[in-house]
Amino acid sequence: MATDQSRLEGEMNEGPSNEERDVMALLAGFLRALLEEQKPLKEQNESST
Amino acid sequence: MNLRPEAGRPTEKLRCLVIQLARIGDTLQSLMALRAAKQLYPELEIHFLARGRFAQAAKRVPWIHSVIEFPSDSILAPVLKGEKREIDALRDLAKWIAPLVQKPWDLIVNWSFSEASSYITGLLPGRIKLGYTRRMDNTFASADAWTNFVQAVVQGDLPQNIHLTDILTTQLLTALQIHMGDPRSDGNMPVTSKTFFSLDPKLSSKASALLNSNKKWVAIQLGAALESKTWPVDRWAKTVEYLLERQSEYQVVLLGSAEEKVKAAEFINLLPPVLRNRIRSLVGETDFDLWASVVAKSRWLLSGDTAAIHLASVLGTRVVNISVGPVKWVETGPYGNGHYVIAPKNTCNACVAPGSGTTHNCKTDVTPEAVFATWSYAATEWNHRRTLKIEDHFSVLGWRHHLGQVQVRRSMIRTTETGGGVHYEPLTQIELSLNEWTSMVTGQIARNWYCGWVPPMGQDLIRTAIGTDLIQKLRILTEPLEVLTKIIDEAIASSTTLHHRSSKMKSPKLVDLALKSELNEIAIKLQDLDLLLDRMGITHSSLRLFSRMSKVLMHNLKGSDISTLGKESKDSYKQLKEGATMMKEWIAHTLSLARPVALKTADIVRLRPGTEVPL
Repeated sequence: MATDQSRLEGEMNEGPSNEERDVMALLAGFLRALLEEQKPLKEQNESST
Repeated sequence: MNLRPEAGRPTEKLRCLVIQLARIGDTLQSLMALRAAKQLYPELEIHFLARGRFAQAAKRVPWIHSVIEFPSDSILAPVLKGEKREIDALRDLAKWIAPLVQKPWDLIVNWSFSEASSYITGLLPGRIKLGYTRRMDNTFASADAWTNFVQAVVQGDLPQNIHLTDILTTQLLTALQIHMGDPRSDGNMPVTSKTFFSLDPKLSSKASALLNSNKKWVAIQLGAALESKTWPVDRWAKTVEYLLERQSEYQVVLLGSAEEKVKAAEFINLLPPVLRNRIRSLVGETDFDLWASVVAKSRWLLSGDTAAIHLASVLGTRVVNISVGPVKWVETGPYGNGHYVIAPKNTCNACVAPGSGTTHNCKTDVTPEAVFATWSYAATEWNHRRTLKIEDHFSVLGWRHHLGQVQVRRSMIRTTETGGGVHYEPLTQIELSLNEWTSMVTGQIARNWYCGWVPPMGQDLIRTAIGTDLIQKLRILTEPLEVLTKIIDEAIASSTTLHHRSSKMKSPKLVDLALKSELNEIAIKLQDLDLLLDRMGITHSSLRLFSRMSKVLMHNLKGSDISTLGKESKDSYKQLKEGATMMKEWIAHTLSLARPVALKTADIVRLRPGTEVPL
C-alpha cells in the first residue's frame, strides 16, 4: 500500500503532546499568518475606495 | 487507533473539533459534509470553530454541540490599524486558545486549508488530526492523504472533477471508518432539507409575511464576492424581465449584502415599471436567519458563484447557477439533485490571465435569453419529464443560437457503483477540451488512490464529445507520458535501493565511507529525477498532477531515518506510477472511442433505392 493511502486515517497522536511543543512559536506563527491573510483584503478594500 | 468504545460499554461521545476559518460558503459546505458524518456516526460530538462573522450558520444547526467563535476582527483589526502591538495581540490569542487546549480532542478536522489554520491544528492536542497542521518542529504538514490531494491539486489550481463537499465527506468518513469501524446506521437519510437549520421562528414568519404564499418566488442573489464573478446587473434585469413577463404566477425576491444596494436600485430601474411591483428587494436587510428563511421558501435560487448556492443546496431549494468568472463549478457548484449550471463553453481569456486587461467574454457568452430558457426548461421538468431536449426548448423560444456559446448541466447524486457524489450531466452538446478531459482523469485517479475503486472507465465519455483537437492533443501526450513513466520507474528503483542499502547501516551516525558515498549518489539521482518530473509538469499541463503530487508527497514523508524515508519514497512513486498507468489507459480508451466504427448492415435504413443512410 502506498504511503499516501496508508495516511487516509490522518495523523495520530497518542496522548497530549503540547508539553513538548513550542507553543509560543506556534502562536506567533498563527498571528503572523492571520495578519498576512488580511493584507490582500486590506489592499483590495483600499483600491476599491 | 480504535476510537470506538468496546461492545457492551455505554456509547461514549467522540469529541470532534472542526476548524473552518474560511468564509460562509465554505462553512455551509462543511456543514453538509458533517451532516452525513453525524447521520452515520451519531456518537460524534461536533464542536465547530469559525470566525465570528461567519459562525451564525453553524449556530443554527441543532446537532452541532457548540460553536466556538474566533474573534479575528477584535484581535487583528487593532494590530492592522497600528493601535495595538503584535505582542499584545499574541497575549489575546493565548487567552482565547487556553480553554481549547485543556482537554485533548478525539478528532480535529481542519477544513480551512490555509496556512494560518495549520498553526491552530498544530497547537491543539488531538488524538487524530485531518487537514493542514504543523509538525513537532513547527514546519507545515498535511495530516492525511486527501489533504495531500487538496494541497497539490485543488489549491494548486489543477483540474479535477470531485466536488469539494464530496472530498470533505469522503475524507472524514474514511477516517471515521478506519478508527471507529463501519457506521451503525445505513446512512440513507437525506443530507439536505428545509429543516437543516433551526431558525429563529420570528424571522421565519417574517419571511412568510414578506413572501406572499399564493405566489411562487424566485430568489436572486445579485452580487458575488468578486467583481470578476459577478454577472452584470443589466443582464440580471433582462432575465427577470423575461421571467416576469412570461410567468405570471412568479414573483422575484432580491438578495444581497448592504454593499449591493446601489446595484439593486439600478436593477429595479432597468425593469419596465409595470413589473416592478412583482419585485421585493431584501438587499442589505437580511441576517443569516432571514436569508436562510427566504431561500428556503423560494422555489428557485438564481445566483452566480456565491454562498447562496451552498445555502440553497443545504436547504434543498433548486438552483440555477450562472457560473461566470474564474469559477470551478465542478468543485463548488450547487450540490444535490436537479440543480442547473449554465457556464460559458469557451475559455475566457480574462479568467485565464487576470489583469491582462482583456474583458470577460464569459459574461457576455452567457446571455439573459440563455439563462431564462435554462430556468424555464428546469422549472417545467415535471411537464416534459426531460424527454424534451434542451436544444428543442431553446428552439421553441426562438433562441437556439443563444445555446452556441454556453454549456448547460444538471446535477445528480450518483450511486456508489457509478462513482458516488455529485455529477453534472451535460444537457448540451459538448466537445471536451484537454483540460476537461484531464479533470475527468484526475478525478478517476484520485478515486483509485483514496477510495480503492473506480467507476467504470469512461462512463462519462461520450463519443460525440471527443473532437479532433482533443484526439490530436492526446496523441501528442502519449510520448511525454511514456517518458514520465520511465522517470517514475527510475525513481522507484533508486528509492528501493536507498531503502535496502541504508537498512544495512548499523547506526545513523556510523556509516562506512563507501556506503555513505553510494547513498549520496542515490540521493543526488533522486533529486535529478524530481527535477525532471517537475519539468514534465511545466511542459505538459496534463502531467502537472504528477509533479505537484510528487512534491507534496515528498514534503510529507514522515520517516526519521534514511531507510524508512527510502521506503516511503518508493511507495509514493509507486502511487504516481499507478496514476500514470491509469492516464495511459484513459488515453487508449478515448482514442478507441474516436476511431471510425464499421456500420452493420442492419443499421442502414434505405430511404430510396440507392440512398443508404445510417441510423
